[in-house]
Amino acid sequence: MKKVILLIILFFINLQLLAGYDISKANNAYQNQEYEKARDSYGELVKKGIKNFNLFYNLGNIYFKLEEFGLARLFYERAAKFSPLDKDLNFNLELLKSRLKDKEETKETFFSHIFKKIYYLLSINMLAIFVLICFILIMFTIVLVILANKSSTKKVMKVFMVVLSILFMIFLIFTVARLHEFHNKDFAVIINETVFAYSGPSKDFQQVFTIHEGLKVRIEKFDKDWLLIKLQSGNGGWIEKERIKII
Amino acid sequence: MHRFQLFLTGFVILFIKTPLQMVLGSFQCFVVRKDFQGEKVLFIVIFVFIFSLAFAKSDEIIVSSYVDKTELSMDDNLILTIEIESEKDIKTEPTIPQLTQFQFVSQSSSSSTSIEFINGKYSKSLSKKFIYTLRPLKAGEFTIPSILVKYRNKEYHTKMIKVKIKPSRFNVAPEVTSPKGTGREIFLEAVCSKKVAYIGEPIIVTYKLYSRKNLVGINAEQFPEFSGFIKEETYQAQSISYHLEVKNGLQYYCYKISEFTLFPTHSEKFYIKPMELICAYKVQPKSFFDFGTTKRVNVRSNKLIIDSNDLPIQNQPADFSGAVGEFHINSNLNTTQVKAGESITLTVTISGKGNIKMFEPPSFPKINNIDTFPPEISDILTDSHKTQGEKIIKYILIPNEPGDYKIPELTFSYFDPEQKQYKKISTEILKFNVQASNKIVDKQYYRTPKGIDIQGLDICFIRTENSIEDFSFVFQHFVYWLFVFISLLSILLAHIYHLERKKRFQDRAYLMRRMANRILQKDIVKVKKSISEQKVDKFFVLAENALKNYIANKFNISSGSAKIRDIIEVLHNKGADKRLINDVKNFLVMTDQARFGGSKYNEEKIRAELTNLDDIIHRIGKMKFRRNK
Repeated sequence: MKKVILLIILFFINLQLLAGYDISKANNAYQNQEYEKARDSYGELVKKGIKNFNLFYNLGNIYFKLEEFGLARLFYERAAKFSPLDKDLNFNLELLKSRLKDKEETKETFFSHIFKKIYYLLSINMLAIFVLICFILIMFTIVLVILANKSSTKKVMKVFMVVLSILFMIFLIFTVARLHEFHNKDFAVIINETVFAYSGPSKDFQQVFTIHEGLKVRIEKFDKDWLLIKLQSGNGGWIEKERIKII
Repeated sequence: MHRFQLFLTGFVILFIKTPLQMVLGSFQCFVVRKDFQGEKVLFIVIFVFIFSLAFAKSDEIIVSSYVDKTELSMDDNLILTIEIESEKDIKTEPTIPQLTQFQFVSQSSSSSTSIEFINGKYSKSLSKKFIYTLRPLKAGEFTIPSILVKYRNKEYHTKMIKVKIKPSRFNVAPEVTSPKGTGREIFLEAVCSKKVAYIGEPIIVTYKLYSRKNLVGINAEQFPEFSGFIKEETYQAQSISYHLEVKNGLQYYCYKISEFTLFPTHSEKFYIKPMELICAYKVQPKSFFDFGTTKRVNVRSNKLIIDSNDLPIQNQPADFSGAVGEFHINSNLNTTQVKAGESITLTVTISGKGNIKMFEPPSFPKINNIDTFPPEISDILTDSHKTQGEKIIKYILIPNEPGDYKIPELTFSYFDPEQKQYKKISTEILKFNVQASNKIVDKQYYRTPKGIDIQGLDICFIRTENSIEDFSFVFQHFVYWLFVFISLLSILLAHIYHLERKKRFQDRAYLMRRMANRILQKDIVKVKKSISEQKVDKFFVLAENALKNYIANKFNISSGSAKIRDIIEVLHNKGADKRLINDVKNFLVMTDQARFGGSKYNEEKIRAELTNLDDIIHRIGKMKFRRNK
């Protein structure tokens, strides 16, 4: 029995070791202000499809230092999907927004602020674990209800079951909502310095507005090489696909 | 009552519009028929009428086209009308083919509805008219081709119309002007100050309308777009105002429509679409009874072609920031004597002609012991074209230490499109003196209101963890689902266990087996009590009972009637070994005998028997266990 436990522990340690990627070189390059070298080094990991808050955050910083504000915004926004309330990230993002040509207005009331704090308090994984814990406890209470001989124990267990079920539903709804948001591909960042938007999916249409690098927009429609985007103000326009990157 | 129903039926029929009403109408007829036994004929008539009406209701439309006259001169306009008749309000438009001999002057549409009752029959028709005013361009005989109207995937064609156009009676050029309309009645002219320009070089584009007639109305039909330029609208006509201007020896009313200053943003050959206006003027009354009419003409400007060139890369100074034109620079300080910690303002003015709004100010060099802040920039444009003016840049400097300071010359580069070369201008070297502040608190005084002295903002540092893991959701891991599975399984197992237990409790033998140990414990306590009370007779009775009860409970036989032989037989049947059977037999025989001659047993012997009893019971307990296995 002891051997089995030991094997399981070793298995998990191995798993941890396998999953890790060494980024010390890139970090050192950043510290020595060799931003281009650091960018390439981190970029390789991104190409491999690795998703990690630190990776995206650090890359955002590098692009900020290289003054490629569009890509900096892109990676900050990607990092924000993992940890939306991270203080460093939000500070950098605000600083970045102040450097952009197009100003964005963020209207935040007291209640929306509180809601945001609660909504993003736990990470998706933490929420999922809470869902699991609630589920296990519900099952446990059900087992006790089945096996208990005394009717008073059964009553107490049933009360517990109701409370746990409510908690379970709350956590489950939060998890599903957050997951939906995580996989949302509706938002994109402008990466070209100046982008003209037209009233239709071609340059022959009337030019309706001009936007600049780093602006976050909502994608409404796809049409081959053109995208219909919507600004915060509600104005919509068609732009070429390669001028933006989806977060 | 019958009459009322009949009336109702007629009413429904009259307003049949939708299939639902049709069904209702039929139903109504059915009801009427039931009551009106004698008037079946009427019912049939009504019924047939409803269905004929329903099937007659089709989506067909009638399209026709006609002109107001088939013979006209070059001075007249031809009015082409396309009429679409339908029963419903439909949304379709005729497709007008390219008519090379004519020019479209105006287009309008109207619609009318007519409702008719003929012999009580209701019919509604909608007619939509599309009216096109055409102006002939050439004399001769022409055919207006058949016009296509598409409706619900069906195509409808009109008949062709032949039109004869006679030469002009007055031999005057037509009023609608071609772009280069010198010597014409009305024409719109677009003029640009330069045909070839560098990126960032201002180009002034002016639209002027020339007319020999006094205009009463000007409407914009199409405005040009200037994609690829930064556009400054410098003039836009708000009302119809004119001045007289002589052009090609003729005097014209000149209406300035709009004026733009354009700055190209990239190199390309730009074609600017013409501006289109609709002008209205009064035609002089020809007789006393003629009150004169207003005529409208469509005017189009000439196309503009602007070629924008890249700035030369050769010899481009490092500090060049996009300024194109001709500029001067000068600088001054608001004071030359300050105390440490106080601010001093350096004002740099770049004045001249060019794209003043579009370039960056010179950067301020770093000077030891002087704090600088991002400069305050204001653009003042003095002329109407927004190409002349000055850029005022204010740098706020705060020296920290006393001493003499020198502001080095600030250089600024621009491109001179006239001489086609880059030019560098610079400010003079400025000096100022900083005195020690007479109060030591002064420095603190300056700093305290602001709290902490912030030199600049930068992003937070990177995360320095040297190892990262690929993000994955916990529920992507099998362990997560293993937990879910186990907990679900536990319910199943609990349920199975519960059912099994319920079944067993209904089984008396099982219950007794379960109870055997508990009863034994009680019996043993009694036995021990008898020893401590030194009641030898009672001990043997209790010990025998304890053993008999235990075996009886264990193997489901009645304890009361159990004789030694029965017990041995049961034990034998249950597969006990011979030694155990022997021991049990001996013990029981011993107790039987002892009950009648118990005096020969002393306490020591009784205790030995007690351990013997314990041993036997232990072995029976084990035996049962083995068997179950």
